Amino acid sequence: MAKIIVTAILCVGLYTGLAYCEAFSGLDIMKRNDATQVVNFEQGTISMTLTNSNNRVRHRKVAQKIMHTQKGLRYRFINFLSPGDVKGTKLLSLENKDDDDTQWIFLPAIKRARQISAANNTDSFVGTEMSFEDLRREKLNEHTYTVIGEETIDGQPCYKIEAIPATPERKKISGYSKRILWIRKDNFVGVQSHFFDKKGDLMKVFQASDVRQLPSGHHRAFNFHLKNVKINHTTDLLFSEIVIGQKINKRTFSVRNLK
Amino acid sequence: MLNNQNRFFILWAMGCLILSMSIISLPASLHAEPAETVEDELTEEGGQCPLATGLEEMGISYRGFIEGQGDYFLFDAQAKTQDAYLAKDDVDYSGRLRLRVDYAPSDESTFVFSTDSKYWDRSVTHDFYEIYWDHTFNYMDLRLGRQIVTWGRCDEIIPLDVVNPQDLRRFFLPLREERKLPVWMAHSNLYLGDAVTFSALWVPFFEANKIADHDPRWDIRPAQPDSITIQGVTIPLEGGVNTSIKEPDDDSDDSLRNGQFGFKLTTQTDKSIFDLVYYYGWDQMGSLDKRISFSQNGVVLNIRKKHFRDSMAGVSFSTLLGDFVLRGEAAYHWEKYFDIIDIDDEDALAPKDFLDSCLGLEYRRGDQWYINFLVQYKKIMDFDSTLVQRKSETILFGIIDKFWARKTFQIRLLYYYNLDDGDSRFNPQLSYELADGLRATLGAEIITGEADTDWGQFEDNDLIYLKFKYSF
Repeated sequence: MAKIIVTAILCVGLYTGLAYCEAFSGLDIMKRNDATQVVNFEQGTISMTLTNSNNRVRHRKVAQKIMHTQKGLRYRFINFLSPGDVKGTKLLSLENKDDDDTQWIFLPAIKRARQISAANNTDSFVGTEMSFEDLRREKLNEHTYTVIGEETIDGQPCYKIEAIPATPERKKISGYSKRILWIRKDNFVGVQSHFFDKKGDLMKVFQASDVRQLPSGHHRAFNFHLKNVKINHTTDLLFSEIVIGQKINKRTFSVRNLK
Repeated sequence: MLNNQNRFFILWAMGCLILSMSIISLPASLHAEPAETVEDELTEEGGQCPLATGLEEMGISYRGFIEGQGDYFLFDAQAKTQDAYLAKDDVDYSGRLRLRVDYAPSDESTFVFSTDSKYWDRSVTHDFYEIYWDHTFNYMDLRLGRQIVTWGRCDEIIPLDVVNPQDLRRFFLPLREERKLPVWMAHSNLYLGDAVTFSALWVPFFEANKIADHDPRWDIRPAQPDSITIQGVTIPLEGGVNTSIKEPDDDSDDSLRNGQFGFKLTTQTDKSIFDLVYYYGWDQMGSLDKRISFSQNGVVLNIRKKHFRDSMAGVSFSTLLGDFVLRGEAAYHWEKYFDIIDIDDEDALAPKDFLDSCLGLEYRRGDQWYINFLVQYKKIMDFDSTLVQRKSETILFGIIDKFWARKTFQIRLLYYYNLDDGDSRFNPQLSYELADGLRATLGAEIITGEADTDWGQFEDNDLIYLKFKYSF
């Protein structure tokens, strides 16, 4: 009898151990999530609706082109399509490996491109609730990722991950003390995030929906909703067009294209 | 009867048409590298105006603005010259409509056509603004037509920005980008690798700055004297003063022999950019040629605006310093003409080399702050005491912009102060975005200084203004 019980316990332990080995770590999940974002070429048109606490609505529309270099650096070119007072403005952001991004802006009023200081991580991106930190590629080696559970979001099972800045430099420059990320199990697309400020208070809530698989095999969410719960501002992004894989001329990501 | 400018326009239009047809048939190696295409992964499009969608598909886009402004002057106008308006309202209205259409038949080629209509000084004018064809080759860009080019790296005070003339009919009140006037030009950039660019331009016709004519508010002509000094002897101008500002000088009339050209070499790194510039053109502001003659009534002073050739070499740079951007430039002019105190039998002008330089620091914090501070230093080389102007001048200039609520509200403080002459200009303004693209601005211009200084001559022009601008 004792032998049976011990054997049963060992089997349960073995099964549990095997099951544990098959589960992803937080870092594994984030690596897979990062892999979904890093593509050679990506371009799309984004309509933004900005709503403040008084329900005043503003609209923006931009066309965006992204390229990842062979070294994995992200180059981004943004052309502002509306409203009229920013139409024709172009922003070029070139990621550097160990330094601030190189940024240039073309203002149609002054008809020349100007080098500008790289935006701080906490600066708002064109008046939205997205910060430049939210747009930059996740620095996996500067955070600690811990799987803290699983939840279902919009009918899709998701990993729930806690992300905390791990290096002194990251703690200093990041606008967040902690983030909770919900990553879908089937395609590793991030569908929800909670952002906590330096004091540990909930600051922003991000939700992505309408996830589709593109012909390239990549998955993209076509709807973003971001809410700053402290000041009750929201930003809604609607991607009307996403193209992945279509080669973009490298010249697009040069100052030469800012005209 | 077609004048030279109209002939040039027709030739340019025909040339662009022939050139674009030729380029289409050129070997593929000369074109910019085509993007590889795979099946487009177009998804559902959001709701858009069908016309807008149709225009975009045809490669046509447009933008522009319409604005109206009312100025209320706090003091009466003082006429400086006899032929100026003597009756001038305390309220001025002005308006502007700019429309620009871009047609891009391909990723490499763009045609731009824009017009500029102004309501100014109780009259309406319609002008072509920018009209050009822009083409991108593998290693070169070419832009032909009526356009604006800005050299130099600083803001507002830009010593190297000498290519385009300016509309100074409200002196330097409007910002530089609002004052600049497009000119016919051939402009190309040659890319020698990722870090080096060589630029060249040719401006076939000369166009001078526009200045206020007969408007007592902004007339920059000197007040008409009642006497002159010749070799230390003061002589009354009993014959009067003849002032001719409007007529172009024979040496800078509308002909191709008065063309201008320039070159620029630019090198850049991730954090810095340097330029070397040479420009051979005209002094667009002009100098006042003064000569005396005699009439039945006595000595007559004849003042005539004259333009001289301007040969300039310069350097500029821009470099990132953390959250700041440091910018600077210097322009050295050979034989710029300055006024001399005593009028002898020559034209009362003396050629001197001239240095114009500035250094500026910019700070930008997201959508909330923009601060720009500049120091300008100007110096007449080989100065002597016969000149009317100062040997050197130091000018402080600053702009502070603060934004709130996603740039719905903006406060701007603009300040100019001449450390040597003591004249100044202070321009505070508050603007509010009423709706997407529609902005209202309330501001004031407060000008101080002695009457013989650049800004002080307009000390009586303190005003408050209200402006509405809709951009589309």
